[in-house]
Amino acid sequence: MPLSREYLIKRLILLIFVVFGVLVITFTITRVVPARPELLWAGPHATIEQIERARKELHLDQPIYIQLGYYLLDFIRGNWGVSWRTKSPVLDDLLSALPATLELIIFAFSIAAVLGILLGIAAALRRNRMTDSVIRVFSVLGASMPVFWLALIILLVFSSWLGWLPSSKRVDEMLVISTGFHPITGFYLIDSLIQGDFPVFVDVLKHMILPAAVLSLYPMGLCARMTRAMMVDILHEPFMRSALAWGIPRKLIVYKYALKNAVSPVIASLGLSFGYTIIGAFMVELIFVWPGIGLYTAMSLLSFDYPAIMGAVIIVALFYSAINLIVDLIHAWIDPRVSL
Amino acid sequence: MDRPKGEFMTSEVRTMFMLMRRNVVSMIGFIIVIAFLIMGIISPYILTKPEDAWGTTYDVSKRYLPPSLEHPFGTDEYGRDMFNRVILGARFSLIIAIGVVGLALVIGVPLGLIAGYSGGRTGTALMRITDMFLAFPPLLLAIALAATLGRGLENAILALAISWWPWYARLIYVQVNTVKSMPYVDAARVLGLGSFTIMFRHILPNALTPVVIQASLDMGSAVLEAAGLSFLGIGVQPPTPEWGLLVSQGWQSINVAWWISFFPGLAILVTVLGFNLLADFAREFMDPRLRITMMTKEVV
Amino acid sequence: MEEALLQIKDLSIVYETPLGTIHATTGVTFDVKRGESVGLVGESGSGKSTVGLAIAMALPPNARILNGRVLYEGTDLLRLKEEERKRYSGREISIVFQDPAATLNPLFTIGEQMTDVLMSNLGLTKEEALNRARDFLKKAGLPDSERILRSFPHELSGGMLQRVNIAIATSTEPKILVADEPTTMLDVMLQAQILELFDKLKRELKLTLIFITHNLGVASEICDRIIVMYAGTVVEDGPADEVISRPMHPYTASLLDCVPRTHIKAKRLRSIPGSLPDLSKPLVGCPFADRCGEAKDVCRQTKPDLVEIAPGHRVSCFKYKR
Repeated sequence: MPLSREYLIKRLILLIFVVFGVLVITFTITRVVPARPELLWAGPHATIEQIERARKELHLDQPIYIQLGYYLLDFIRGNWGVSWRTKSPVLDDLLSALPATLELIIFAFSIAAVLGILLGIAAALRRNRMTDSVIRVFSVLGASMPVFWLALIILLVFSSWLGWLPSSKRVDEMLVISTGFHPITGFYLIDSLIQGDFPVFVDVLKHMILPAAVLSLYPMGLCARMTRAMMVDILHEPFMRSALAWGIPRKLIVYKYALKNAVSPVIASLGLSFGYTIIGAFMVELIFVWPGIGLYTAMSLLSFDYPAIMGAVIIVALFYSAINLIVDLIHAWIDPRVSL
Repeated sequence: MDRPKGEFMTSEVRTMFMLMRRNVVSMIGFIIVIAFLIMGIISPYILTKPEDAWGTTYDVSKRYLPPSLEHPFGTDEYGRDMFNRVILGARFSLIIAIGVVGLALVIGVPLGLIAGYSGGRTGTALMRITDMFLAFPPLLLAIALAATLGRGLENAILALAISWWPWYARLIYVQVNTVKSMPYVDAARVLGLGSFTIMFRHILPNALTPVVIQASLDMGSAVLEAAGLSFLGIGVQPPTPEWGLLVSQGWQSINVAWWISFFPGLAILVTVLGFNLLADFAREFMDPRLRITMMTKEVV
Repeated sequence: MEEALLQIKDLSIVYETPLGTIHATTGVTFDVKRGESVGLVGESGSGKSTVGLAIAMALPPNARILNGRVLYEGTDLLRLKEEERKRYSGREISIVFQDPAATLNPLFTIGEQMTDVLMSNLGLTKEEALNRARDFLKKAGLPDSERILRSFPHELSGGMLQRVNIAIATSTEPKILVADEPTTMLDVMLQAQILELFDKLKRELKLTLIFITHNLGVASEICDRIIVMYAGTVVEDGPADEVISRPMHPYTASLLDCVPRTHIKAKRLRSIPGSLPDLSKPLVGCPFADRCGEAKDVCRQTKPDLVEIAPGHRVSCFKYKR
C-alpha cells in the first residue's frame, strides 16, 4: 500500500505546528488570562516565599514573548512544574500514569471495534426496520449518555449489588504480592503474560471489564452505525454484483471485499469518537479509581493543583493530535485511491 | 395550532413537521425538547418544596428516604426532596445551554464572518487560529479554562463558550465562502453597495441559517458538557441543583441511596437524547438524498 | 435437431422501485444453440440487459421473476438453490459487464481479484491461478500481464480494464458468455478492437456468446443470429444477415433506417417518432403500435405471437400470416 515518505514528513511537520498551537493556547490560558498567574501556579496553600519563587520561575517580570520562549523551552526540557499534591514533577506523574490509561483505552476501543463491526454487519445483512431502529437508538443513546452517570450505575449494579466484579483499582494488591508480579511495560495485561502470571492476568481483566465496557459504549454505537451504512452501500456497488456473478462465494464477498471497503468508516468512526472517549476516560477513571491520567487530572482538579491540571491538559491534547494523525495515515494506507 | 399564516409557516417548515409526524422517534425528540424548554422556563414557579430545591434548608429527619409518593425521587443526605431539585435543575441546564451556545455564537459568528468575507490572508490566518482551538478534544479546553477562571456557573458558561466558538466560526466561514461566490452577491457589488451592507444584508442571512440550526441542536451537548464539568467539581457549585452536580453529590451515598444520583442523571440522558434525536432528524432532512427515503418509506 | 444449450421460455421479470413496479421483460422466448453467437439488440428499456443478467444469474436484488424459465442443459437456472447456483455462475456461465471500472473492486489488485475468481471456481492453488490469469490476460490482448496483475483498477485505462474484465470472464472457460454492452462505454477505435477480441475468443474457446448491444451494426459484425427486442418483448429473431438485409418487423426496419449511410445524401437524420410505452403497466397489444406506421386496430388490442415466418426467422407482428 503506497505511503510516500513525503506525505509522512509533511504530516509530521504539520504535527509540530499543531503542537506549537496547543502550547500557545495553554500558555495564554495559564499566563495571559489570569490576573496573577503565580498564585494559581503556587497553589492555594502557598506561602509568600513560594509565591515569590513562582513569580521568578514563570519569568513574570519579562515581556510576554520572552515568557512564551521560556514556556516552550520548559516544555521541551520536560520541566512542566511540580505538583504540590504529589510533590513530584508533573511530567513524571503523567508518564507513570499514562500506561494505565492507554491500556484501558485500547481495551475499550478493541471491544468497541469488534462488537461495533459485528453489529454493523449483522444489521446490514438483515436490512429490516427493526434492526435499523435498534441500531439507531443504540448509537444515539451512546451519544446522549452522561458517562459518569452510566459508570456509577454499572458500578452499583455489577459491583455493589451483584458483587461479580471488583469496584476499584487495577489489580488486587494481595494477589500481586503473593505471585510476585511486577510491572515491566506498564501494561499489566502484557506484563502478566510475560511473567506467566495467569492469576494476575485474570484479575486485571476483571478489574478492567467494567470501566472499559462503559467507555466502549459511545464508540461502539458510532462504529456499528457507520459500518452498517458503509456495508449497505458497498453491498449494492456494481463490483459486488460482478464478483457474485463471476462465482465468488458470498461469504468471501462479505468478509473480504466488503469488509475491506468498510474498514475506512470504522477507522473514521473510532477516530471521531476518540475525543469524546478520552474525556469519558477522566470520569470513568475517577469513579473506578483506575490509576491513569484521568484519575490524576480529576484529583488535581479537586485539589486545585494547577500545574498538574495544565500538564495533563497538554499531554492529552498532544495525544489527541497524535491519534488524529495516525488515523489519517491508516486511512491513506488502506485506501490506495487517497492522493498523497 | 392556530398560528397566523405568516412567513414562518413556509412550505419548508410544513414539510418538516409532516415528515416528523410520520417518524415516531423524531417526534419523541421534539416533544422532549419542548418539554425541556417549558420546564426550564417555568420550573422555579411550580416547585412544591422550593426551599429544598434551592437548597436553603435541611431536615435531618428526612434523610435518605427512598422514592415514594410523597418524594417521587427520594431525598438526599440533607433531607431535601430530589424531585424538586431535579425540576429546578432544568432551569439551570437551560440557562447554561442558552448561555454557552449564545455566547459562542456571539464570539464565533462575527469572527467567522470577517474571516470569510475578507478571505485571503486574514481569512486563512483566522482559520489557523480556530484550527489551534480545534486541536483540543471537546471539554479539555473547557476544563483548563474553568480551572483557571475559577468555579461557578458564570465561569463554566464562559469556559464552555470559549471552547466552542471555533466550531461556529468555522461553519460560518465555510458558509460565507459558498455564498460569497453566488451571483447575487456580485450583483450587489456591481450596484455599488458598500461592503458592510453586503455582508449584513445579503451574505449573513443565508450563511446564518445552518449555523443557527446547528447551534440550537448543540444545546443538548452543552447540557452534557456542563454536567461533566460540575461532576468534576469545576462547574456549578453547591447548593445549586444542577444535574451534573446532583449526580456527583449522590456519589458518596450511592450504596445506600442510589436514587440521589440516578434521577438527575436520567434527566440529563433524556434531555440530551431529545436534542440528539432532533439533530439526527434535521441532518437527514437537510440531505436531499435521505429526504427521499424518509418520504417513501414509513420509518419507525 | 440438436437440443439447444440455452432455452429461454416465457420470461417475465419486473423491477421493484420506490416509484413503482417496472415490467422489464414480458414473455421473452428464444433458444440458443451450442456455439452460436446471438445478438440481443434494442434501445434502452428494451429489456435486453435484463435477459442477459437473468441468464448470468446476476440480476439486481430488486428484480422479481414473475414467470418463465431459463433452461441451461435442461436445468432451470432461476429456481436453483444457493449452493447449486454456485456450480454454474462464473464457471459454466459468465458475464462481461458494461462499465469496466465499476465492476472491479478499487481496493484490490487485478491479480487478487482474478485469482479469487479462479480459486473459487476451479479450485486451483494461488500459484496455478496466477499462471492461468497471466495466460488469459495475454489472450485478451494484454501482453504486459505481470504489471497488470499488480495494478489497481484506477491505474488502468478504460480499454485495458475492459480487456481485464473479458479475461476474468473467460478465464474459467465458461460454456456461455454474456456480454452486456461491453463496448458502449468505449470510444470507436477501442470498440473495434474489443469486437475483434470477442470474435477471436469466441472461436478459440468455443464460446456460446450472448452479445447485448443497442447497435445493430455491431451485432451484425459478430453475431450469427440477431434477436431484436422492444419494450421487454422479442419482436424479431433470425439469422443476422437476413435480419439486416430483409427486416420483417416494422421496428427493425425503422432501426435500420435510422443508421446514417454515407453514400446517401440525407437532408436530416431519421428517427422513430414517439417513445417507449409506460413500462410500469403490463403491456396491452403490440408495444410498438403507437409508433408503427403500419399499425391496425388489432395491433393495439392483442399482442401478436412470435411466429416462424421463414426458416429460423421469427417475427411478432400481425403483418405476417402463417
